[in-house]
Amino acid sequence: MRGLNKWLWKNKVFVSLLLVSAGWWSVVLRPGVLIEEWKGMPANLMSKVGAVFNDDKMARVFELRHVDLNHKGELFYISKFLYNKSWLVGDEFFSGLSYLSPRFYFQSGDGGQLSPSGVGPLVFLLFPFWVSGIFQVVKNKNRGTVFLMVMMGTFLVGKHNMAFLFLLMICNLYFSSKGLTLIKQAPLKKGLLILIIGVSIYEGGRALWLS
Amino acid sequence: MVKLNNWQVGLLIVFTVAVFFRFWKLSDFPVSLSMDEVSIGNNAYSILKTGRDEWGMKLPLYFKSVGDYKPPVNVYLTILPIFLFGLSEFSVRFVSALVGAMTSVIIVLLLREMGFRKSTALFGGFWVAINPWHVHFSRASFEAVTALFFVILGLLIFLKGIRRKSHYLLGFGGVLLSISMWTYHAERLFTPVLVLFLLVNYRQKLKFIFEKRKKLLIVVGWNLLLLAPLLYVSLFTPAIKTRALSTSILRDQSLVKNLHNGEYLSFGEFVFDNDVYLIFRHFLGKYLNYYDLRFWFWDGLGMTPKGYPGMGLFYTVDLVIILVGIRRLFVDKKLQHKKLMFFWFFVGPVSAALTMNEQHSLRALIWLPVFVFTASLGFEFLTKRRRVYFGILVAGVLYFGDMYFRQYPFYYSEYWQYGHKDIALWICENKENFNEIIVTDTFGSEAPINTGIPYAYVLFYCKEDPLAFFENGRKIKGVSFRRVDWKNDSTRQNTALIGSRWDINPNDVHPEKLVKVTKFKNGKEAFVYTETN
Repeated sequence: MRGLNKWLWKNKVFVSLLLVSAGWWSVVLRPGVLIEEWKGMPANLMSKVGAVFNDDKMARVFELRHVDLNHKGELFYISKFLYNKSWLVGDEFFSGLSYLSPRFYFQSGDGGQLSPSGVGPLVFLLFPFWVSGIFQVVKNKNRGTVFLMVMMGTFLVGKHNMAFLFLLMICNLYFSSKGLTLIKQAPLKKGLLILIIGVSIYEGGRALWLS
Repeated sequence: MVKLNNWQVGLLIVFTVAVFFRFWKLSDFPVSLSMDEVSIGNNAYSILKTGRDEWGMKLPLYFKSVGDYKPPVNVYLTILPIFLFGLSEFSVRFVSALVGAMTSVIIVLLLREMGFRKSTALFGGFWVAINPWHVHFSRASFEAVTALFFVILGLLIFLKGIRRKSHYLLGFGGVLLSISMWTYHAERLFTPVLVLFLLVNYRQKLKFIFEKRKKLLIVVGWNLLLLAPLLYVSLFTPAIKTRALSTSILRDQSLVKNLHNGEYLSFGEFVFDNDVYLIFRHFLGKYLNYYDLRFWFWDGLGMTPKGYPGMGLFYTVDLVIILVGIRRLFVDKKLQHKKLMFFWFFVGPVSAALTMNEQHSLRALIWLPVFVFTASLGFEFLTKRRRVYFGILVAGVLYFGDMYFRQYPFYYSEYWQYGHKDIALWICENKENFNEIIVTDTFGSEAPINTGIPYAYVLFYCKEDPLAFFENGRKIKGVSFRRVDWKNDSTRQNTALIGSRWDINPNDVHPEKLVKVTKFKNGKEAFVYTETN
């Protein structure tokens, strides 16, 4: 208990932000939906792995390899080098990286049951602090690796929705809180925190009103 | 024989590489002049020949063109290459390509001014010289490239002015920044905010300007001289207003349908769903979309259809140096001009996000400098791995080359109005043989969804007399520009019809009357040329 208290005190900014974020409440108040979504993990994994080199994607790569502006049936000699299966792996990697795209967390959510209505899961004012916080946190190699693994793991077993991005949302909130704590001037930090909490409450009210 | 030191050789190499990337096959790629380019060419040619634009306005401060009110700088700058090389694709694209190449060199000087090491600064210039985002837009007459050049040059001179405590350098920097506002729409929003930021951020160092009031008045006067007409154009003419309204976020249908226009059904709606919040939220979505790594490194330039291998704003290998650079930007406490970089990082995409489109790489071009800063910061970190970086970069350049010269023309030739040059040249040759030529302004390979301005291509390639054009009520004698109505038009006497395949089915045309069928670069039918009896 004492350890928990210590941790809570140490991370009071994070905890305060968590408690006022619409995304947190919209998920924890609907655990049934969350569990139902999570049950689909094995199927998601199978379909994602199976789809990496699916026929449609291979056909597109093949099409690019054979694009011929002069319509003379020429095959550009480096085509095979440029367009091959490694492109598909790269595409998956960047699809995974797009799970980090800030729009989802700070503006749109997924519009589903677990996403707060009409507001972002996290308050938009946190965006600049998220950018600074993320680089502050992942500067530690271990933490960086863990975060990348969480992101790629989510990508592999999940979908681009709140049920699966919930964990990443918590990570992002943590980064934002770290970014916020980087501000040295105490009055500015306090003022910002009050403003962020105020806007969070407003957005929470909007989400409730809309739902 | 002039002897160059290493630094000058480095600058020369950067410039040469930038010129090569921008001027190689400049007339042929992009595969056709776009509507904007042909309008710029026509207006510049018209000014050169008559001193008036295509609407008959004498030395205008804005160009009405096809109703899009083009900023004047690119048009006026294009007069010189047209004078030197004649009215051609090369002349129209010359300004952007040259200014784009010069931007690489200015970037080197800016990075030096900002305290970067010489090798890092040269890398920054080289990075811009080969950067897909900048190269792509430099190879066509895009005003955004010229505007970016003026912003960077203005900033360089401004920072030099601060360091040397020179009123005149500061004033000249201000003049260049003002010119950027005359050059492209995005800068009309970005530059004033940048100037405000510079004045606030460097206020301590700028105190010296008040010591010599006479000099201060002179440099303020220079800037007012440039800005007063811009204010006049903004407030008393439709130029800027029309353009702003036509691209504004407020016209976005997905936003408009949710707005209440001030009429709220309840107090709750007024508090939680008011129009101001909705507009801001809509803007926020577009703004945050610019911070998408997939957009940056994988498909931001949209050179192929969705779902196909594409091209990002940067080479994929830049992922490492840019992310490391951003990290340094946030973590490194010794960095000079850190606030300026922060400012650019967060404010760069704002003006692009205030318009209708999502992730518009052209409107966001003003954001480029922050990536130069971060890539250069990241490059310093590479040290022993530089060979690996350059090795992978070569593969990236090959990939970009293939995308740009092969895939992009194949998939998007029709969006570059491919086929209109052919139409214009055919009209130039055959105009005298027909009573009338009817040319469609609607076309497309999958459906008639593209609208063009074929008259502008006829003006351009036939080098029609601009004076005769506007004295004739902006009409070209013997040529009509509208969709072909095959049922009625095919019964006309001695008329040539040039329509898309949606207007004229080649199978309906008597083989003797079918002149030719042209194709887009993707091999699909573009235009059908026929003659009537």
